[in-house]
Amino acid sequence: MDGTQIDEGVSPEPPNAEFRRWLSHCIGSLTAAAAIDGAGISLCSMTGQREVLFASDDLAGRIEQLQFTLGEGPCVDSTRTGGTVLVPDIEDPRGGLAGRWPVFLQEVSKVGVRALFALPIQFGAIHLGAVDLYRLAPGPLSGKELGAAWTTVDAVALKVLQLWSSPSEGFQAEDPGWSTMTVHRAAGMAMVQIGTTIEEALLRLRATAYAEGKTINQVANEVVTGRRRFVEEKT
Amino acid sequence: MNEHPAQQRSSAQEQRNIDLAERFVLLADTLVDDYDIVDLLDRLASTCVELLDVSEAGLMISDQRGTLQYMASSSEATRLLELFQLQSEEGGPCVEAFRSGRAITVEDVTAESRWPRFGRAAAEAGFRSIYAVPMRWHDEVIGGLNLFTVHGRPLRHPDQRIARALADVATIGILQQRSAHRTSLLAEQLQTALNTRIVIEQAKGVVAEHGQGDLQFAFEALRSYARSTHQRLSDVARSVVTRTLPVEELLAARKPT
Repeated sequence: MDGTQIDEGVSPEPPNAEFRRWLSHCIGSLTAAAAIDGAGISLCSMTGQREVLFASDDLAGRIEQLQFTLGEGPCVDSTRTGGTVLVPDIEDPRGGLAGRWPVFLQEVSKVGVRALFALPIQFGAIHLGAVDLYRLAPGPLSGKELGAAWTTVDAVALKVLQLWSSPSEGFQAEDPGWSTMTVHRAAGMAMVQIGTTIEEALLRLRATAYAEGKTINQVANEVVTGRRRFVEEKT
Repeated sequence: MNEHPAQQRSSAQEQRNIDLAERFVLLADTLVDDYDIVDLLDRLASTCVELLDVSEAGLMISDQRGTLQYMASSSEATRLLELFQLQSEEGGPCVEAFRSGRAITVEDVTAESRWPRFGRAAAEAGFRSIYAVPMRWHDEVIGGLNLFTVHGRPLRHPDQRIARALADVATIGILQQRSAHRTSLLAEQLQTALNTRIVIEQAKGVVAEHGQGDLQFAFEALRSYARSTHQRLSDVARSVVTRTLPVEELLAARKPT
């Protein structure tokens, strides 16, 4: 499956070819695992810029573009509130969607979309954007399908964070999974120690783990228990 | 005037019933306001310690990726967080309660063969027995409530029932979080709750680092600032992490003027 690039919005660092291939592969696997028909990824930068990072096909691209143009839709809501938006059937009146996305709903109905799911790309106070999934047939994501979707979102989140904060580092395909509260507690501490942002602090934890052959959880534990301190960077 | 032992027992029982009723009314009252989920669940964990014969309590919820995540506890101590983390990595009573949908009792952690590493860590942290209750919503189990005791007495039957009722309140709390537009799905609410916890952990790290490392102090500073300025705990936490709210200001608000 080829990713369709969309020239919408301004990207300070356009995703490189390797990253795009990785995204295509990642979303391709998810399409099968979560029984979805396509997916789009939109980012919102810390400066308020927004860009469409990826669309698996023309329809996914159309869904992303519509939301940008109209300023309404699941991805817009998810980005604004940081919440997850799951709409198993856009025609179900109980969802109360007609008042929420009046124009967007009409437009996506015309192109045959029936179910939409927007999952935020975030780590606590770090908001990076959202992944939009669509289906042509109505139906909720099962627990297993949702699990597969979140796993993909986690992987995308780390890549985006890394490429945004330190594009010079290049693309690293492999990333150990992690998901503990200790990491976030440690990131808060490291942020003060280094005198940086929470985004940079999280990346420093990850880079340190990578460089020392440890897991990010191990490094985080060292920080939380005071066995490791980062030094403020001189600029 | 000496009361008959039976009368003493019944008046102690009466007092306990009043305490219980008051606690549940207080928790129900919290659910009406625009409450912060982490604040509510942390209070609920503390309520467990006050009402039941247990020394620490904590909640874990499903991250929908197949793992349970630490969500709230009666104390911010790192040793407690480590016990939850160990459970999500290697299993433990709470994870077992979540998987099986049944309450799990560990009477003696030192004799626990199912999760030896967890058993050792719990014993090192000073705990002796553990009781874990699943948090349910209809047919789905969304997490678990963990109760830790320092003595070897298993939780008495009435306490077990109260623990189950408190776990139900936690479930309702997660489901009733304010959603921007409509009735939200459980999966949406779980994710919101987890992210709220992440923001608070980030902020605790920031505040603790300013205040030289005490996480309990950091949490209380965040909570008291949120209360005194009538903001949600997670909003205050977010402001601290994004440096919109200087930590100095947060800490200064705690000092009497």
